[in-house]
Amino acid sequence: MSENTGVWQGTLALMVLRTLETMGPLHGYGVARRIEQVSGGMVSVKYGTLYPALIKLEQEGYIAAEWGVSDHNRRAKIYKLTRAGGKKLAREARQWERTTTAIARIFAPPEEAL
Amino acid sequence: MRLLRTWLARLAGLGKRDRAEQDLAEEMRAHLEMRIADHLRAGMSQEEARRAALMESGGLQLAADACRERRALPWATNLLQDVRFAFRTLRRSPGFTTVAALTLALGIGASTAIFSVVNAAMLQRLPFLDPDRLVMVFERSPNTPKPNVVNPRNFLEWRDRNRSFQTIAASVETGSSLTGDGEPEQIDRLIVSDSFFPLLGIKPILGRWFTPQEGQAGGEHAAILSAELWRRRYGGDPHILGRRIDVDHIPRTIVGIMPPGFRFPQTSADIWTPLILDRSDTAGRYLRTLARLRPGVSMASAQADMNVLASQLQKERPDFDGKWGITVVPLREQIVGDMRTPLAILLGAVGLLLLIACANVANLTLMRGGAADVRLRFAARSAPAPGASPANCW
Repeated sequence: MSENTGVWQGTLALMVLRTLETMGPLHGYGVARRIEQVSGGMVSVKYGTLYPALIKLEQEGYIAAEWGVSDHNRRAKIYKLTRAGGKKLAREARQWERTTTAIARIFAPPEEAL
Repeated sequence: MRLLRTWLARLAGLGKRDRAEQDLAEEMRAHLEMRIADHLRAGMSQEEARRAALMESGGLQLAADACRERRALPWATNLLQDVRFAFRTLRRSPGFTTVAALTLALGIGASTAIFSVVNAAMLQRLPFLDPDRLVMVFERSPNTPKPNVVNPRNFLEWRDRNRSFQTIAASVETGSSLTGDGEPEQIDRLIVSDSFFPLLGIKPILGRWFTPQEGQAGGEHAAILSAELWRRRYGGDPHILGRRIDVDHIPRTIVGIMPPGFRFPQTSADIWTPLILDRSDTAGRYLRTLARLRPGVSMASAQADMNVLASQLQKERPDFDGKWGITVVPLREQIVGDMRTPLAILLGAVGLLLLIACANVANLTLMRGGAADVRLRFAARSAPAPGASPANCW
């Protein structure tokens, strides 16, 4: 665990919130699998980063967790987005878009920058 | 707000560790099993699926540790464990514990006792209105340099002729007997000029201060009680104002009750009565004189002003005031006065005593051979065993 965990966790938190928003309430494994699938296997989510991130989001009140039953009839902890989480996601998504737009412009071919 | 919430959650996490551990273990097991099931569906063999799932997990124990750190406050958990460890060690050797605790208790007790005196005398502000402007004014005898109490006629001259003081007040203490209602009682009485209470600026909790009329001949029948006497003898009767009491067989009327803890100068009086001053009283010197400096007047200029007045009085009454001077002393200095140095030395001494106590306890610990033991334990506990919480090493 080094300094870049902060950046990574921040991004991961955003991905978790987004996943819960599109998929609805989901267990930890579902979140991890969904992120892996959507990213085309480019992002692999390890337990050691996923679960601390979930705990942190829960402590901050952006997600809520309760024990439920998974689609395979197995006891699992189900996470869902809270209202604060929804707002946070909207805010962070806007921020993300601004950042990527800015970076995209910087990396755009020079003639378009005129 | 978010931060506060997070910290509260983590603080709460300290309390229910076992439960959270179980939850986490179950959650991760479920995660692993679902992963294996997915691999099986993808066509892997049981063995392959299991190995792949474990590889992908990135280490279950590491993940559990990361969660534990996130969930609660790792240092607080460690602190709790250290405290428990210390407690267990102490309980194993009650003799040592008693000696160590007594040594420290003595050191700490002495330091605290002296500090409370220093605090009250030197650090706290005096409990009066704007106490830094309060001074005591004394006569100065030609024979000794020590401040001397004041003659009533001189006090009146000072009151009327000084240019440095906003207000000036006189008081004299006496023992009195309180009779008439119930048991006769010996009480401390402070006879004060009518300016005394307004000068200190402390309001009575019931009734009023003395009026200027009560400071004139015939007004001496008023009395103000201390809250302590009021509660002790009169049960804190809220309708006590106007009641007649006999002090030294003179009937007096209660006009006020001072707040609890009010005292001046240092001794507490039970009752205050008006001081009636007579200009013809040239016989003796017995008044304590308190004054409040006018705004903008410094100690030095007040002293200079009073020096001029003293030389005038020397000429006017050479038989009585010849060679007598006037001394102005800040109230705080008057109260702390000669105690300052001894108090500082005493405070230093008990501080050293506490240090010695600490050194003794440290020696005791060494002699027990406990030091090596403790060092070993701490070495073991701080060794970087992956995923090991301190509890695992004991």
